[in-house]
Amino acid sequence: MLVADKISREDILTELFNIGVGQAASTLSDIIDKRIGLTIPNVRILDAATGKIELDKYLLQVAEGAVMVSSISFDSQLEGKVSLLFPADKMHHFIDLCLHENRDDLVDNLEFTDIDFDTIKEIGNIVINSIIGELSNTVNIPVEYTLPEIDVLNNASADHFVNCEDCRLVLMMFLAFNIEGTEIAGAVVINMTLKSLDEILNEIDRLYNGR
Amino acid sequence: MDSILPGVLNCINEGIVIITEDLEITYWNPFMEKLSGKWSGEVLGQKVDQILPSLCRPFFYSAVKRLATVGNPVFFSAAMHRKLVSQDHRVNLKMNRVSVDGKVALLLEFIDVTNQFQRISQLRDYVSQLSHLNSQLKQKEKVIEKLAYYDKLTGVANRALFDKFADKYLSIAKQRGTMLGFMFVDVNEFKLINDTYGHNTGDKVMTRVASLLTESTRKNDIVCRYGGDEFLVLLPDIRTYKDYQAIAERIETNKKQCIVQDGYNICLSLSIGISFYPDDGATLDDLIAKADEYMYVNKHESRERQDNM
Repeated sequence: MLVADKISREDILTELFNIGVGQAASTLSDIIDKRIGLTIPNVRILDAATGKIELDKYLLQVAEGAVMVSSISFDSQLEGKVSLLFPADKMHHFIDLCLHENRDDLVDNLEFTDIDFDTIKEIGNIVINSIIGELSNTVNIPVEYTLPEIDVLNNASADHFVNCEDCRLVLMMFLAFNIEGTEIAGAVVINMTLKSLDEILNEIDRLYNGR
Repeated sequence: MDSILPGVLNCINEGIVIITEDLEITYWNPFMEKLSGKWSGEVLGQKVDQILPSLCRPFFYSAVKRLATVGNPVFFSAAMHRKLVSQDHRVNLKMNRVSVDGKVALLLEFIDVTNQFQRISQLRDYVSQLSHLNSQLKQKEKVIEKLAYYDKLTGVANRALFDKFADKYLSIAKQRGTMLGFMFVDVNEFKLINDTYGHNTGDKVMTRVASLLTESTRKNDIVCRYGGDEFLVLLPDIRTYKDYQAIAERIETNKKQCIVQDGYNICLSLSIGISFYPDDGATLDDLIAKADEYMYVNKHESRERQDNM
């Protein structure tokens, strides 16, 4: 595979995912009645080892390595696991912004209630639907999955997210949420099988490059 | 099997609604009747967004469209959607696609989480009350500490705080081989000030002396009201006698000024005695006794000077 080809495929994926998260931003704006910005600056296709190094770099920047994670495993024709990560210490403020609440006493606290988890489950569902759904629609390959599982992990490492034996590749992207001037930087990690990614890339080549 | 399914759905403690792709209600279970206050008979065949107007929003229509075409599940949380079915119940909504014999139906599960909201609200109230109590306790601790360690009249340290620091500073001086100064200060003729201007003015003069000593000493020195008209100043980390002289000179300069208190012009006179560890003793009692002794010598000398004048 030529380097130029790879860059071009990553650019196409970036474009695709941005269309998806654009729709997610519009849905969330409608739900919470606030203007929301949601962008993915770039998508990188990495082998599992490099993906882990890059992800660990992100986790090092997160306070105490504590992240709130929405994750789903998907199967059918495409197989893998997608995780949406947010710095846990920013989540109370983020949730408060979404719920039009203001609880100063809870800011930076790492304790979450079922209500907080449900809020993130909904946001995770919308964002992951937008990313995977757009990809699945564009390449016309069906994907099946359930609602996301939500968890808070302390001292999280990349092994938590890139751990499937058959999944040798990682699609890694950063996600910038902007609600009323407050920016929250998340990360999206899609760990998938080589076969799945090959299918996606071949379809992209066929659709965009006429190959 | 098919025949028992309606019975099962009727028993479930979740609001179960089945709709077609174009939103027509085909099933509405008893729990949903309880949640919404609407009977099955009046809603079947109606559009769900007409029966539950909170769903009459673009996000719901696009979720239904995506669910019907792609089939991936949808979740709406009670926190983000406050009045999904009624004013009284908080519900999460899960939506799934069910395909049977080429026909697509959409299953809506309304999960009642009102109790969770109530419990969390109670817990937040408790946390808020505890936090309020905690800050009150902290304030009271500060007041208690002030009462325990500071002189009520002058605001400088009392003997309890002096003893605490004197022990600590003496140990440090012994470890480091530095000097530690004990300055005994007595307000001359304080009884006369009280008798002449009254106790109220006398108290204010005592406060002025405490301020004078605090202003003349260094940040880490401890000024303590030791008795009625007596002060003890603890001077840690004295490296040479010059360090002490600088402090003594500042006190001397400040005390020479007559003060105006309650309209009276009062000239202050202080007797001062100073002892040093290790030259004048190795224990607190010895060092305080020595400073006291030097203070009385100074008082005697100043009386003699006054008599001669």
